[in-house]
Amino acid sequence: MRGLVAKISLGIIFAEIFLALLANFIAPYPYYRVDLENRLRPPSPTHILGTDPLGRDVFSRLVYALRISFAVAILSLAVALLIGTALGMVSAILGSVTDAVLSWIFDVVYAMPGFFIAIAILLIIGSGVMGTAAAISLTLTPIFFRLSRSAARGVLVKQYVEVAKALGASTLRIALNYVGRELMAVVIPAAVYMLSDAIALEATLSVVGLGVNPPTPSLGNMISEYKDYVFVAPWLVATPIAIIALTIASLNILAKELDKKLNAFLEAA
Amino acid sequence: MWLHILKKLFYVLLVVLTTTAVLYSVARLFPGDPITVLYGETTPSPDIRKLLEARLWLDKPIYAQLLLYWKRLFTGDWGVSIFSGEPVLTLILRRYINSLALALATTITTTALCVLLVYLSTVKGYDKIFTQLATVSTSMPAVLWGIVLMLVLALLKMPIPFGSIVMPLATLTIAGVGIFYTILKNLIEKAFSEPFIEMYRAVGMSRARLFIRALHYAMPVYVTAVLYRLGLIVAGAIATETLFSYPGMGKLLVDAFSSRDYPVLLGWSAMISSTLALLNIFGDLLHMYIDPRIREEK
Repeated sequence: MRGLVAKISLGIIFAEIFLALLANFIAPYPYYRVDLENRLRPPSPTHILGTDPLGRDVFSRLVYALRISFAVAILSLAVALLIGTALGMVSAILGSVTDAVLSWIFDVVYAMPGFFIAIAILLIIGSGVMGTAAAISLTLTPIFFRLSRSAARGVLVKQYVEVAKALGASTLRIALNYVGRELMAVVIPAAVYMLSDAIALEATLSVVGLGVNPPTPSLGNMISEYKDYVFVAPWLVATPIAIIALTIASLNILAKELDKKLNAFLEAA
Repeated sequence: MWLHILKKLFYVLLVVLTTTAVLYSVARLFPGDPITVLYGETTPSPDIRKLLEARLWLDKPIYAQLLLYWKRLFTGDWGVSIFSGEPVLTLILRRYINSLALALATTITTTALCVLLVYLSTVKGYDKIFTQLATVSTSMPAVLWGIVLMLVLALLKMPIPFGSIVMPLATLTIAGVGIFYTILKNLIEKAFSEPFIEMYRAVGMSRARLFIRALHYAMPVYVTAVLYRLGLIVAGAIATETLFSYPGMGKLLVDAFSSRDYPVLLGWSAMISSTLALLNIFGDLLHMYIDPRIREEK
């Protein structure tokens, strides 16, 4: 049962990535083509998900939105993961002043609600794909920092690391071979969880009017554009919302499964 | 214990000073000074510009501006909103009370609902269905639940009450129950495996009364979890408040950002960062109050 649910989740994510990668071949119309004659049409054979207030094909926009939203989420996550984990490891291994300063900086960032940081960044960089990715990654970086710092500290006091140190292993070797290895089991499932956070954050930012700028479609700004038409054309906003819910639920299930598998693997090894 | 609180208070002070300092510098280094924003398309005469610059301390170096700002921050004079001319402190306090009402109401409804659901699932055995529902609840960010609620109201042909507390409260409760249900259920299940509960069971206590004992045992950790998330509720509320035009801190922030109203932004960040840090301390104290073991430790 559990295995089946996880497989379905994996299938959903792969299908979405497939759609996102091949957006230009799959979308039946250009996502920006306006057709004022056919506005707010309900789903039909020519437009499988109907048309929006400007007569644009919703399915085509959705496929491109998947591409943009995934790109923003993966980019911001990768940056946050690299910076957060690297600094967390450095902080744990070097300790003393470095640790105190880094922890202090991330504590201050963490003390503000993540959303506020995101908005402040968007104010400085300006909204758009890059601005949104930067905002999301800065919100996620402290989480990776804290996670990897505490995990790395846990590894450093283990006996085999002490032995390696006594045998004269260099700091770099300990960092990569011992700490880095065990951190993977903590950071990778967390990254899958946070991919869903990144997608959620993009949607939240868009609803407030920040985030990726229209006419470039993203899951978030489609929702924010179409939410004003709930009375006239409820199916418009329902589709991107359903996709986001499906994506986040699948990612959460996958993260849980991955967590179990990786821990079992590490214990066996 | 007092030393511990004092240390924490010092920490709050540092957090507030740092966040305002960073924001102040960012605001000042950002292209487009407040006077240009204030005048929009028109340009003020050189005399007026000079007067305004003196009033906003734009003629002083940035560290002097910052020191002056900090001084005013602690004397209660937070400046006036560039946009509306209203004193920032009164503007923020009014919105703050609205947000506080929303946060409190959300915490109460969420907790009440969670306790009820966990009771039904652990004592009455509706575990499976609620766990599924919790998964559904956590599969969307709070704002999107707001839009789903809008969608439901639209399908029922009912008007959407913009500006009232009802919609944000319902939205945040739906989004919150999923998270807190899982936390509380795990805590209660852990409590049920403790020896003292076994003892009560052996004595012949009913399931319902056992649940109350377990709840008492689980409360300290649950309260910490809630307080920790209260900050997230504030953050999640920003978007939800904006969606339903609820006049709270969230809407204030978004409005202040779009009109580049720096005095309001600074006041906002000072208020929120100190609130979050103080809540952290409050959580510690409450923890000590509920759990005597911690009191002795500190």
